[in-house]
Amino acid sequence: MNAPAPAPLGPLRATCSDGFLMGLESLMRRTGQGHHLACTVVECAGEPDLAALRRAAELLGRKYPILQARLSRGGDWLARWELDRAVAAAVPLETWNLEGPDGLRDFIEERLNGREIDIHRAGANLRLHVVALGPERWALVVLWSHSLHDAVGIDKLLREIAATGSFPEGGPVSGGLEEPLAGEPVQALYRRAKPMIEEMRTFPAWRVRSLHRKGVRPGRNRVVVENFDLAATAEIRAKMAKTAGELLLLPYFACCAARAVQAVIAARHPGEEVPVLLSLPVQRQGDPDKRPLFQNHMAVYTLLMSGAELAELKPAAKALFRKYADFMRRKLPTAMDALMQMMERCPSRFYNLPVFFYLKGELCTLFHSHTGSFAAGLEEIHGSRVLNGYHVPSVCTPPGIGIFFSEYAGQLSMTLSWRDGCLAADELALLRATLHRDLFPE
Amino acid sequence: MEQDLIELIRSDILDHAGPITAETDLFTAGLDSMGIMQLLLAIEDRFGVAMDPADLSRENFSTVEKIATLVTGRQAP
Repeated sequence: MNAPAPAPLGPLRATCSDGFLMGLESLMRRTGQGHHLACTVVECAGEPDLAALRRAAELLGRKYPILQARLSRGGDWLARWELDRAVAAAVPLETWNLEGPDGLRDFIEERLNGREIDIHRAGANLRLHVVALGPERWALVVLWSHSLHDAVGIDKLLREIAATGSFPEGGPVSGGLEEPLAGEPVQALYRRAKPMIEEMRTFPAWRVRSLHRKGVRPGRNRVVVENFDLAATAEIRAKMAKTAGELLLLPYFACCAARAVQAVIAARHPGEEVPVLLSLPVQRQGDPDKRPLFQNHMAVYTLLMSGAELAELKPAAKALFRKYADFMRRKLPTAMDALMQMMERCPSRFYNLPVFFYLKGELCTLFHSHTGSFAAGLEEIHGSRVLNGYHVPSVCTPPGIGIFFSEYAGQLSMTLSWRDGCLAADELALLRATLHRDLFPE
Repeated sequence: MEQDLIELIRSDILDHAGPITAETDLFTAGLDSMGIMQLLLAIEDRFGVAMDPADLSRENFSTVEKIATLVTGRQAP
C-alpha cells in the first residue's frame, strides 16, 4: 500500500518587515531601478564540486517551494507567498569564467541590475552562480530577492547548501514563520505605534538629506567591495577598541558610515548643518538558530544624529549609543513594529508615503548594517575551503547609498552600493577617504 | 549583584537553554553586539552605572563574575 501523499503547503504570509521591503521593491520598480536584489559571495580555494552543488540546488528547490513561488496580496490585502501553486524545480545554477581584477565586481553589478528574479511572477527567486576566478580559486555567487530573506537567512541557507542535507520525509517545507504576528485591531496598533508617529513628526524640522538628487533619473546600481585582510582588520579592530571599546560594533561602524556620507553631503551643501538619519535593521530573534530561513525578521531603528554630534568619531560613537538607548527606553522598537503591522495591508506603492511626507521626499540618509560574522561555522563548500564571504545588496534612491559591513574569519568586508547619478567620482573618492580615515589609525 | 545580573541576563538578554552561572562564558552562550548594548542599558537602569568605552572589552564582559566586579568598582565612590 502506498504511503499517503503529504498534505500540500498553504500560502505563507509575509512578515511586517517584508512589507517594508516590498515598499522599497515597489519604489524601485516604479522608478526604473529594477528589483530589490542582493548578491552573497563566498570565495573558495580549489575547484568547485559541480556535481555536489547541482545536487544541492536540486534538493533545495524541491524542499522549499518558496524558492519558486510568487508573492502576491490576497483579498484581505495581506501579502503571501503562493507555496500552494509553486512548481517544484531545481534552483537555477550557472557556471562562469571571469578574468581581470574587476571581473567579479562587474559580474555582481550585472546580476544586481538584472531582472531575472521577479517575486511577483512564478519562477526562481534565488539563483546560484559558480564563478571560476582563476586556477585554484572560485566563488559561489548567490543572487536573491531581498523579499525572500535577510542576511541572517541567507547565511543559514549557505550552510544548508554546504551540507546538502536530505529531503524531508513529510515532503516540502515552507521554511518560514507560519503566523508571523497575531492579528490586532487597528486602534490597538495605532495606540502602540503612536510614539513612533510622534517621533517621525519631529523629522521635518531637521531637513534630512541623502545622496539622492531630485530630478535626476536613477541610474545603474554600482558596487565596490573592500576586503580587508587579517592585518588590516586587526588595525581597524584596535582603533575601534581604543575609540569605542571592543564590543560596540553596531554604533561604531554606523558612525563611520554616517560620517562618510555626511562628508559628501556637506561638500555638496557647504555652510549647511548636515544631520544624518540612520535606518538600522536589528534582528528580532538574537539567536540565528531559532529563526526561520525565509522572510525578513528585522525591526528598523531610525536614529537621527545632528551634524554636531557626528563631528568627531569618538563622541559620535558614544552619542549614537545614547540615541540607541533612548530609542529602546522610549519603547520605540515596539512602536515601530506596530507601525509596520499597521502598514502591512497598505498597497506597497503607498507604503513609504508617510516617511516621504515627513522627510520631504527622503527615506533616510543612508542604508547601513553590520551583519556580524558571515555564515559562522561555514568553513568549506563540498571540499573547497572557504576563504572569505560577504554580502552585496542593491540599494534604491532615495537614499541612493548603502554602506554594509560583515566579517569572515577575522577579515572585515565593506560593501559600498550606490546608484549612478547619486555619487560622482570625486564624491566616491571623498566617501572612501573619509571611511579609511575613520577606520584606520592615523 | 551576581544573582541580579544572572537573572537580568537570563530574562532579558540571552535566550540560552542551559544554566547560567557566575562563571558561564557569556559569548559562548550567545552574547552578541546587540546583547551587549541591551546589557549596558540594563546595568545603567538597575545599578546606575554608565560604562566607559575603555571598560568595554571581551575580557570584562566574558562572565557575570567579571561584570559584577566591574560594576562594583564603578559604583565605589
